[in-house]
Amino acid sequence: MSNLLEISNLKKWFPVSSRSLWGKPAYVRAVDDVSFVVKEGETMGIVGESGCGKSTLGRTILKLLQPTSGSVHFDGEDITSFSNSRMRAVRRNMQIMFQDPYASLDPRMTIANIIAEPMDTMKTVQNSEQRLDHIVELLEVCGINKAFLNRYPHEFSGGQRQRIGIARALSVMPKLIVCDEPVSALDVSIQSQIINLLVDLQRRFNLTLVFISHDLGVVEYISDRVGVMYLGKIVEIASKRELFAHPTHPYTKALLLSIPEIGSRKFEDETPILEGDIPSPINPPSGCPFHTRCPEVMPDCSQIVPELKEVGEGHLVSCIRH
Amino acid sequence: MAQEVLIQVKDLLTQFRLDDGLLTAVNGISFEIHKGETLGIVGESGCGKSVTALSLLNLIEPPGKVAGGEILCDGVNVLKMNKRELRSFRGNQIAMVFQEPMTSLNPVFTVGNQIDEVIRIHNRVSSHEARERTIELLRLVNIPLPEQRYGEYPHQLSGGMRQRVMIAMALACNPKLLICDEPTTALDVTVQAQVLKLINKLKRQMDMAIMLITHDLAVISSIADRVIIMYAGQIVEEAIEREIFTNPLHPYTEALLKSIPSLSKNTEELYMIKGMVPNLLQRHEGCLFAPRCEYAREICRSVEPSSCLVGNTKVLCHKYMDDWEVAP
Ligand SMILES: Nc1ncnc2c1ncn2[C@@H]1O[C@H](COP(=O)(O)OP(=O)(O)O)[C@@H](O)[C@H]1O
Ligand SMILES: Nc1ncnc2c1ncn2[C@@H]1O[C@H](COP(=O)(O)OP(=O)(O)O)[C@@H](O)[C@H]1O
Ligand SMILES: [Mg+2]
Ligand SMILES: [Mg+2]
Repeated sequence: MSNLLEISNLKKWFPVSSRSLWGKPAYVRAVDDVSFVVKEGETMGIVGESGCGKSTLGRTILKLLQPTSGSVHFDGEDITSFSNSRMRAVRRNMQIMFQDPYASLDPRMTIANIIAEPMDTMKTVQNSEQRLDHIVELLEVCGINKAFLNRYPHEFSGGQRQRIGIARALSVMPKLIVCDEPVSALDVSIQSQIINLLVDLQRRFNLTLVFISHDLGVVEYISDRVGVMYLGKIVEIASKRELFAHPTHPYTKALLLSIPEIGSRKFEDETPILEGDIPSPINPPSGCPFHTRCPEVMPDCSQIVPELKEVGEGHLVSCIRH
Repeated sequence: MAQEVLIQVKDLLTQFRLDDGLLTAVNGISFEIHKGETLGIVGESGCGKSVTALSLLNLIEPPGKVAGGEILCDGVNVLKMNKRELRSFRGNQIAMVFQEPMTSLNPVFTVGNQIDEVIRIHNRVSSHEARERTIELLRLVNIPLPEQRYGEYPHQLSGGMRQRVMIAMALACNPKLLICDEPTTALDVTVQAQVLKLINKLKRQMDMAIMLITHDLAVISSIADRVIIMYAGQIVEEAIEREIFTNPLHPYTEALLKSIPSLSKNTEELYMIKGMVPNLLQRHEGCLFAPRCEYAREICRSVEPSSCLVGNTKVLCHKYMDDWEVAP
């Protein structure tokens, strides 16, 4: 399988108004030197706690945000410095869907127009008859009653809105969809419908997914490979099986120890799994960003910036112990 | 475990009078909370978990109303208490922690002053004593440098820290029951783990009962002793934690467990519950879950089930009633 997406040393720093001690501009290092590849047809899961840079990463990949540095290769092309007009052709093949099914759909547009918007902007259909046919087909594929064509988003439940979001992303038959917490706002029974729909569509259309979530259970279910983010960096990346069976980075281990599981009484003892809070991404710790909270910290950890190193086949860890 | 009853809820009915009709949020539920236990209440959004908790504290406000039932604490009906009795009941008997700590803390006062205030409403102590007690509480909920945090404002604290401040405040009067309504839903998993460990510690150290409300089955399984499953304002199943998760009886409980991705690692498809939750503004015939139930028969659609005991599990389902085998 070929690589559909390759990102190298990608950074997205946001300037912030408060200046540092010496009057240098300060930045939020939302995405800080991230590299990985995603193969065609696979699902790459990205996990991490809020504020670690998952959404910024998703948007920078699609160039909805211009990278501060580093590169994004998509489908064999370096799109890092593509102009907006050149991006338009690329966007046809890369779509995004968001967490909040309430905020992400324009309340004044009908369902039909929402779904057709990407095809309208990219002019992928020739005439209105073809457009309508395609909308109806998308509604069917995504399990929305086609009688609802001319209704507005507020008439739909959260799960139905997420289906509309999927239909919209699919409308231009993209190769890649970045799913930013697509099921996080949904109840389990609705969540399972949306996950099944995504998996089914992926198989049918050979879609490549970047699936962002803070819910490790969902990511474990849906992903082929998983990357773990902490303070803007990927600290570990491996196949799903390998990551959940042999978590190696101390942060990944802490995350897995923290997830509540049915049938386990994980939280009986008092010893904390991790101390303290996530440091500010404006002034990230020196050396390894995790060293301030790491249960396995060594003196060198505050000095040396660890790099992702291979510890097993396709299993990369950024920790000087490995 | 000794099962001394702390709170007894009988036929609680809570309704909201809305423009488009009367909404039955809690539909005649009965249950008990035992001394020192962790009781988990689970169900999907809108099933009546928060309204149940607010009803226990007699905190339902118009257009809502507790339209029927009793809530008994030491033989006294909370719903009949006067203002003074209620004030001492809330705090000394039951205290509650809400999901969104930022909206329940006052942004213009330091966290220390806010906890002092609660202590002084309920106890006659000097400001110095209140401060000492507050710092002790902050330490109890694992807040580092409590003397320093005492003087900080809510916005200076992280989400997890604020949630712990809320818990400290709720503990100010040594309540016998602490109700936590989705206490970790807005928190990240490592912070959630800290809060869940804290809840377990408090229960052990203070011999307090906990009523933990959440939509997250894994959280409930991790820390509850007993579990109540709610659907559309009713209790559909009630049992000890192990029974619920190893031997679910109600078809809704069974379906919920089958929908969870982490329990279905190797299956091809996740289970899907068809259809939607019933409209609580309408009257319904028969079982509220029947339209979505795999096992439903004619009787389920026409006759309301009554609660029955199977082993030690209480379940609201025709399948477990005597006449199921011959039912139409
Ligand atoms: N437009 C922006 N301007 C400044 N800071 C931002 C912006 N967007 C995100 N951030 C910051 O970047 C960090 C990463 O945010 P985000 O990518 O949303 O994280 P996640 O999706 O993992 O929760 C956070 O500290 C956030 O506050
Ligand atoms: N203040 C209110 N006014 C009108 N309806 C309400 C109010 N509070 C709750 N409800 C309704 O009562 C039902 C149960 O709500 P709630 O107890 O908050 O559910 P949850 O299980 O998610 O906590 C829902 O249908 C909700 O819309
Ligand atoms: Mg995000
Ligand atoms: Mg609620």
